[in-house]
Amino acid sequence: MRVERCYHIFVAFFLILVNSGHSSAQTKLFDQTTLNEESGLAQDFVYSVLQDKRGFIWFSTGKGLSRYDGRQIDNFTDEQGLPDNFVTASTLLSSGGLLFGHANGRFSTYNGVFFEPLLIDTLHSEIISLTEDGSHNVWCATKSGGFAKLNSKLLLESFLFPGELQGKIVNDIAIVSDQLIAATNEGLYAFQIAGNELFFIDSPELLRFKEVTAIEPVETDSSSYWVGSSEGEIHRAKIGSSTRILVTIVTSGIESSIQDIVEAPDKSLWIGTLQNGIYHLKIDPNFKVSESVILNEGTGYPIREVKTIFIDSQQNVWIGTLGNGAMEIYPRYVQFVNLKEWGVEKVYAIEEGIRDYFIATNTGLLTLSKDSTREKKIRRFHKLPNVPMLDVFRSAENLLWISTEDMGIYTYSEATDQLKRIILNQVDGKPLRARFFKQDAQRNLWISSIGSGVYKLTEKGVVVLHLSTETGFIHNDIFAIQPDKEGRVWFGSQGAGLAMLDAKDSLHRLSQHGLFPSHDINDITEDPTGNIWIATDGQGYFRFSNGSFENGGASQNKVTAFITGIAFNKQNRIWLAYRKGISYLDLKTGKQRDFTTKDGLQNNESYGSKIMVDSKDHILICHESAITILNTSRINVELVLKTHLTGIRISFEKPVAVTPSMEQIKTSVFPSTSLPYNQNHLTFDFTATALNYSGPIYYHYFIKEFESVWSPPTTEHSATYSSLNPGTYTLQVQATNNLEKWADPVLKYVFTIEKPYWQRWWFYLLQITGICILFGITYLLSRSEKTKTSILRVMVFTCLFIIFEFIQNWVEPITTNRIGQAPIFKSLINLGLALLLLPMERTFRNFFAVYTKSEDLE
Amino acid sequence: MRKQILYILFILSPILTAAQRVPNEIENIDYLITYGAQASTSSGDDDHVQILFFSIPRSYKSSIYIRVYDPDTGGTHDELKGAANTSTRFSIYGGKEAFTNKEAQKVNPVGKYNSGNLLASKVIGKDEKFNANWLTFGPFNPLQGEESMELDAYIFKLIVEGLEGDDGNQYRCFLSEKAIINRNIEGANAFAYEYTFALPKNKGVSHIYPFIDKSVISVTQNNFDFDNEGEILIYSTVKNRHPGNVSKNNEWAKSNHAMSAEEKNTTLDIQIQKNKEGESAMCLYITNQYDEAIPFFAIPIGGPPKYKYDLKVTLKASIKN
Repeated sequence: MRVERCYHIFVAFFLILVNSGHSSAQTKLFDQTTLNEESGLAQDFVYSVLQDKRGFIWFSTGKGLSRYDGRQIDNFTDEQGLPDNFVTASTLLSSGGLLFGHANGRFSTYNGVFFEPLLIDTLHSEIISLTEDGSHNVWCATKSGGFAKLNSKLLLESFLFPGELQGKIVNDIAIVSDQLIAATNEGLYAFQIAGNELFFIDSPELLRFKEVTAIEPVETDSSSYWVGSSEGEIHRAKIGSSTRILVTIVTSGIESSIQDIVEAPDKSLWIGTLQNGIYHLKIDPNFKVSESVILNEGTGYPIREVKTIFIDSQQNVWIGTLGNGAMEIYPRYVQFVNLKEWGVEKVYAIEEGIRDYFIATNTGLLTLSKDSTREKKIRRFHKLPNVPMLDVFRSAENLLWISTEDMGIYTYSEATDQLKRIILNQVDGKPLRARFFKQDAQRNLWISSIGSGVYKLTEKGVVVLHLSTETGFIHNDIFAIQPDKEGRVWFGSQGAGLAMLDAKDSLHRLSQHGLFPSHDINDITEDPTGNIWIATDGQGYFRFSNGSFENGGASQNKVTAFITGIAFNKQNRIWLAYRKGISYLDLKTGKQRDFTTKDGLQNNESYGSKIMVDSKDHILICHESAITILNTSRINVELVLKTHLTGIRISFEKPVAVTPSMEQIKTSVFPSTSLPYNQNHLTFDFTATALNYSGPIYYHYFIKEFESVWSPPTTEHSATYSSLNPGTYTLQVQATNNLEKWADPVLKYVFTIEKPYWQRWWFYLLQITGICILFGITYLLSRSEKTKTSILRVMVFTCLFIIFEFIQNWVEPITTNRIGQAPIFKSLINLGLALLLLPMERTFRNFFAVYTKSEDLE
Repeated sequence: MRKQILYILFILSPILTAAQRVPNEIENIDYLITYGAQASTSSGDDDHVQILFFSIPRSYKSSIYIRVYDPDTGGTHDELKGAANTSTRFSIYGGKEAFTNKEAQKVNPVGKYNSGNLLASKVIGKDEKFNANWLTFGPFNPLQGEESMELDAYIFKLIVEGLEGDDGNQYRCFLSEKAIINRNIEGANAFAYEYTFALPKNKGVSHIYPFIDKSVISVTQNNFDFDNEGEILIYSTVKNRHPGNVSKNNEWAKSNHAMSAEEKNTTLDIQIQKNKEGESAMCLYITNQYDEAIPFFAIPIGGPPKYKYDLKVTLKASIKN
């Protein structure tokens, strides 16, 4: 008896634990992409990262530079002009150029076309930091050899090695206001910048003899900066007459040497450590750590020895590691929340509450925390038993409508924490089994029941309409209801198709009357402009606009014809769910984007469900025993593929080194070039940077003066043209991620193939002059008048031929441009020229005939 | 040819002993020692500087760490003269001339012995955190070392300098591929041109393994402050217990030993036999006939020498018959 009692207590205790407990969903907040030697990086030791104005990410490694466009890495070494392959520091200059520092103390610049070594043998110690000040001077710090100050033209202004730093190792520098702050292995040193000189101000006592490893100026406070130490301490310092340490932030979690600190636009700190990966800290106004996320091997990220952190223009975080390559860290935008451990075998619906998401499952209602910055916590909703829940829906009154399989319908108010049962029975007296709920603009609630049609409830909960086959409705099982702005209500069924109840309560059987082609409707939604979008099972999706249906799915073969969910989000995109994945169609640009496993979708999960869009514009999808949350913030900016010309090669190899102007460097424009006639076998290298897009990018290209149609789409990054005739050409290259829509900016690049000297006007003139002289001498030396006349005639005809050829060469490119390259046109042009020159020849012949006659008479 | 043989042996040597502890177990020296600048040379340290070189095979591409055990002065493992007052600077150098600069290969720290790029440096005095614990430098990119085509390796240099104080800082080093544990780097080695080390407290034999290349005709062993505590014996393939001169307190002693053809391209085993109990430190280096220091390796190149006995067998008359 006693044992039995203990057993019951144990079971009860266990059930309480199970029911009241919560668990963290197996979700990661961030995704990462690793670039290493295997994927083409020059070396796995990455010392600095930067982004140029064209969007390329540059990695400085021990074996050269690597440039990444989002899918391809190009490496640059001493073969391309670097003075040393060991690159240790880099910066993007305000002039648009890139400046690199090397381990041997040298510098190099990149102007968008080629590398140029700078100031050879100026410094003899590893360059560890390059910083541009407000006057566009660049301060270069070496590890143990002092500083160099370069002016805006990158000429050496001064070399400085303050006595306070001699014998010390400089780990980092920063320019804060008018001070240069140096982090050394023996403390922090502040110097006043006065022209080309540095005056020591102070070395704060708190950090004296400590190894200071990182400095990061505070974006919003020009006099403050963050300081990191080798012992994992973070300090916030403020400049003054002396370098005062204002606040020390104790971050107990960091036990490794801090290598880099970067402040994100949201004021959070990204901290790279030497042995413990990355810390992402949110700092409250009292300089206390309010949130901390660690990204290292312990938390499932392959991040260890971090050297440098960089945040690009799209807020992606780039990490350079010592020995593990580079990584891109970005908020995980596809989160897969597995509910199997909760015994879930079927997820029916998900709805957004005030604090949590509510998930209707076969094992009851679950809640999931909405906070995207923390690990997702799942709990059981205690107020209802763990019975199958068919739907959960939040009404405009912030009331959650919950449908159970056998226990009827409940409402729950999050604000008052009150649960209420709604008495609504079927005809047979059993509680109504609601498949789903919808609400119209008048706050009437539409309930699609299982097997007994559709009910319309007023705001007060009174049933005012019951649509069923008994009352002439299309079907008793309705899978989609969408009330629209015009007071109509659209119904979708499986088998009976689409129907619409107009504002006068008149039912239109659209499919049954042949007005709508599909009979299997999965979902219906309305966009902000009042268009109705209908997802069908087998015929794609349709848009109802201005009284007609327009197919946008299967007929254009854009996605599968079997679309289960359709929803509209704030970014003017129509989202489509289907078994294999999800896609959106951007109505502004007409571009479509498909999400696949590459974007983080699960391989063996079906995405065939309805779509829920939450208040943050996240897309939520229900699986059998899981849900997917797609954070659209990372993709809220439509992908615009701007193509850049990255190089021109002659005969596949020799690069064209044309020097860009300052303006061209600033605007990242590849300078025009003019090439000799014999360098007319050209390969153009181009690429469109797309760091946040993992799918394929296609290019097509076209030279109007050379060809009549664009090239077929290709994923290749180069185009080769052979045997280009002298002339001026405009290469056009366009990229797209959607082969059906070429809407991205077109790169236009003008270049010239020069004429050979024998086709220049001066050479023709020279020929004519030479012939005249030659014939003139012959003429003068001739005694016979007849011979003289013949010589004159030959001379005139030869000159005419030269002129003829000159005109022909001059006219040919123009005619080719205008009327193409068909030989018949060329012949016609020649004929035209001959006809033009014929009267001239005749005139000359007559002249000589008259001349000869007069000579004879004389 | 000489370089090729050296290279082959250099590559083969770690196969025999795959460990980059300095001093190595095979040397039977527990700790190196560096005294503070104010310490008397009678303590056994002639110059308060220790220079070690680490070689990483050029084929190795991952991170390397140079770790120092018990880098502090005070607590355990150190020779204190009263209260601990000594600080020591540990500096890692790489890059051009870190190794090849002739002054870095000399036994006296004069001139540009600290040549190359300073990669990391730390000054440690009395610090509980590092007492009987590891100080880790790195990770280093192997390319940060000086490339030596002769050794087919990248060379890093560790300079240990006794700064202020008069205590003896005892420490040992490890070249590791991991930061928090000691894991050997396959094919790596360590070498020095002079050792200042603590002799075993008890009676025992310590070993130094210089490599004798083809150009060496004779070597001179130089030892300092052995305090007449035992013997210095030279072993090779042809030498068995060749005695070397032994120094007295605060004095140098040296002895010259001719090298035969059989000893070329082999390793010598210089044994320091301590016959007395107690703490003691000494200094030792080897030079060739040009008075150039000869490196000795933590892992003996080609393995420790084995004396080849020259047995003359004569058959007895009865057997003959």
